[in-house]
Amino acid sequence: MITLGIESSCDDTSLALVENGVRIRASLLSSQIETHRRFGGVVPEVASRKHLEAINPLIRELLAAAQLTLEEIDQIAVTTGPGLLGALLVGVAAGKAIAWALRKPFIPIHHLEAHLEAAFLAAGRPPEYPFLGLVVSGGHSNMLIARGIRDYVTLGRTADDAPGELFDKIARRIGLGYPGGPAIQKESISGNPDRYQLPRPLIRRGYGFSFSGLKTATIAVIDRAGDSLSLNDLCASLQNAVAETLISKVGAALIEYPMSRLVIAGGVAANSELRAQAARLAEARGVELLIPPPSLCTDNAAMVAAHGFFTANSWTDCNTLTVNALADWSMGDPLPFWIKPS
Amino acid sequence: MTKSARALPYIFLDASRPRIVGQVGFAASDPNSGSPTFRAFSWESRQDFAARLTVFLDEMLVATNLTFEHIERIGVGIGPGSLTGVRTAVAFLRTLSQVSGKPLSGISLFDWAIATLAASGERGPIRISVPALRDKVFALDIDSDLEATSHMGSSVEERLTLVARSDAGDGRPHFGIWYGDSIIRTVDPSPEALHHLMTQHNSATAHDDFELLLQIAPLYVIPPLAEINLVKRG
Amino acid sequence: MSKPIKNGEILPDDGQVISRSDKDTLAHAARLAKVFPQALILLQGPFGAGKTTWTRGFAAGLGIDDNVSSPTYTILNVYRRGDRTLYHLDLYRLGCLEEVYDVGLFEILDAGFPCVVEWSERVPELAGWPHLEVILAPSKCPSGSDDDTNCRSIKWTLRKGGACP
Repeated sequence: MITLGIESSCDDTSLALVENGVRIRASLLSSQIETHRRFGGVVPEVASRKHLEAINPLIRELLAAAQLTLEEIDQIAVTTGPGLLGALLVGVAAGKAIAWALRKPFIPIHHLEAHLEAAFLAAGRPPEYPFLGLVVSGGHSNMLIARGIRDYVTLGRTADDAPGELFDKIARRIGLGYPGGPAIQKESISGNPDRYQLPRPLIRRGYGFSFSGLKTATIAVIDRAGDSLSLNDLCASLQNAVAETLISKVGAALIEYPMSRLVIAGGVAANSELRAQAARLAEARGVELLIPPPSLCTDNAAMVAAHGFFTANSWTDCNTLTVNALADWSMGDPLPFWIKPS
Repeated sequence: MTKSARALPYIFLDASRPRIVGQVGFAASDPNSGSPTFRAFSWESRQDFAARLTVFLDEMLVATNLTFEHIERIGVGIGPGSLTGVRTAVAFLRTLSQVSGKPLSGISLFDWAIATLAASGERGPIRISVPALRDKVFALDIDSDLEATSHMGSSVEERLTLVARSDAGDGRPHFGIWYGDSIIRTVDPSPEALHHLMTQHNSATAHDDFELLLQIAPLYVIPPLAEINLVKRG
Repeated sequence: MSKPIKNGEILPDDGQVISRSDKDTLAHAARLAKVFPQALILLQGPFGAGKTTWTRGFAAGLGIDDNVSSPTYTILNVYRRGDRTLYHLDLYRLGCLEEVYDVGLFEILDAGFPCVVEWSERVPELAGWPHLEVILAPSKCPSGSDDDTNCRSIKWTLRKGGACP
C-alpha cells in the first residue's frame, strides 16, 4: 500500500511516498529543488505563493524519484492543520485534486500528530499507544498523552514563545544565522552551561511552558555582559536552560501519568542537549524513548504519509474530500467538514 | 444537455469573489435540439470554498450528465480578487490538469471582461479597471481592437497601472469590472464571453509543456479589498 | 453582545499610560478591545516589551480566552471563541506588502475581523490604512512602585490612514 503525503503548513512544501506506513520510497522538500520562478522581482521567502510554485514540480519529481506512477498511489494523506491557512490550502487543494481524479481516499492529518509519528517511522515500526508525547518546534511546544489513534489529551502548551522561536530570536540578537537552533548548538559545543544564570521558567506549575521570560532574561545577560560576553558559554547556558525546562516537565508528567513510552519530536528535538537529557531521564525512569533522527525532526511529508497509513481506517465514515483546512486545529478537536444544507 | 454531437467539453471554476462561478460547455452546439451549449453555475462561498472544491465539480458534472473522463479542457479564474480563493482554485485545477493530462486555461477577469465588451460591440480604445486601495484603480489601457486583445493571461500584470479613480485618462471609455460610478461604466463578465474564451483554440494551454502549465498562476494585483471600516464602539 | 461600558471606561482615541505589571497590560489592552473591536492594530515594541501579553489582553477583551502565543514562526495565528475571532500576524519574517497580501491580511480585514500586527514597521505601507497604533516600551516605574523592573509605557493613537500606498 503506497501513501502519498503532502505537507505545506509552514515554510517548506514537502511530498513523500511511503509504503505500508514504515518504508520511505521517496521524500522531497521544496528547498531541495530549484523551484520554478517566473517573476523577475523579489519572490517572497515566506509565502503561500512559494508553495503554489513548488507543488506541481514536486509531484513530478517525487514520482520520478520513487520510480512509481500516479496509478500506483493508493491513498493521499495531507496536513490540514494547524498552520498558515493560505499555505495549508495549497497542499489540501492539490491533494484533493489527486484523490478526486484517481478516486483514491483523502486522509486529513494533524501536523503535530505527524511529528510524533516520525519517531515510529524512523524505527520502522507502527505506532504503539499509549505514550507521553512532547512536540517542540519553532511554532509549537505541546505536551500530551496519546491514548490511541487520533485520541490525544493535551497536558500543556506554550503560553507565548515556542522554544525554536526563542533560539531564533537569541541567535539573531547575537549575530548567529537562521535557523537559530542549529547555530546555537554549534556555538555551545565548547561552552560552559553553568556560566550564565538563566531562569527555568514555570518549572513547578502545571505542564504549560513560557519561554518569554527566559528570552528577556537572556537578552538582559547579553546586555550586561557587553564585550565580555562568551558566545560559547551563553549558547551552552541557554540550551541547558531550555532542555532542563522541557525535560523537568516531562519527568513530572511521567510521575503523574506513568507510561512506558516517551516520544519527543519536532524541529527542536534535533537539539543534542535536549536529546542527551531526554535519554538520561528515560534511562532513570525505565521508559522507552523514541526520538526521530534530526532529518525526520523538521517538517517533512514522510511522517504525514506514514500517519495517514495508520489512521486511514478511522475516517471511513466521513466524506473526507469535503474537509477544510483549519489554521487553529487543536489535537483531538473535530475537523470542519462541509455538509450540504438541507 | 446530451453527450451527442458536442465537441471539446470544458469545465471552469472561478473563486476570485465570494460568489463562486462555474461553467460547463461545448465547442459545438447540437443543431437538432437547439439547447444551450454551455451551462453556468454559481454558489455563495466565503470560508468554505476549499471544503467544497470537489462538490462543485461533481455538481456541475452531474447537472450536465457528464463524468470527468468526458472533459477535454479545464479552466480556472486567475483573478484579480480574493487571493486565497484564487490560489486554492489554481492549486486544485492545475494539479487536476497535471494528473489527468487535460489542458488548463487560466482566465483573468481582464480577459473575461474584454471578451464581454467585444461581444457587446465595443471596439476600443478603452480603459478597463478593478478598484485598488483608497480611491485608486488598477487600469489597463487598450488601444487596439478588443477582439484582438483576448487572452493576455498573467502577462496582464505587467501592463496594469495604478491611477486615481477620478483620472479620466485621455477620455477613452472607462469600464470597471463588477463596479462602477457616474464616470466608470460597469462591465459584468458574462457566461457567453467565458464560453467564447474557453472554446477558442488559442486559449488552450498545452499540458505537455510543463513550464506553460506552471505559468498559470494567480494575478498578484492587490485587490479591491481592505477599505477598512474602523468601527469605534461606545 | 458586549457589556455596557461603565462610566470612565471609554478610552479616548489616543493616550499614554504606564503599566506596572502584566496584569495592568492585560487589563488596559482588554479595555482598548472593547472600544476598537474591529481594528487593524499595528503593535510596536522591542523584544520583551510584552507584545504577546498585550495581545492576550486584547483577545480577552473580545471575549476570547484562547491560548495566545507568538506568531513569529507561524506568521499568522487565529484565536476563536464562538463567533468571535481575532487574527494575530507577525511580520518579523516578512518584508513587503506583497507578502502581507499573500498571507491574506486584506481578506481578513475585508471580512470585518480585527487583526493585531507585530513588527508592522517592516511594511511601512500598512500605516496608510486606518489603524490603531499601539507602542509598547520598557519604562521607568512611577515612584512608589514595589517592583521597578517590569514597567511599560503603552501609547495608543487612532490613525485614519490616508497616505497612498
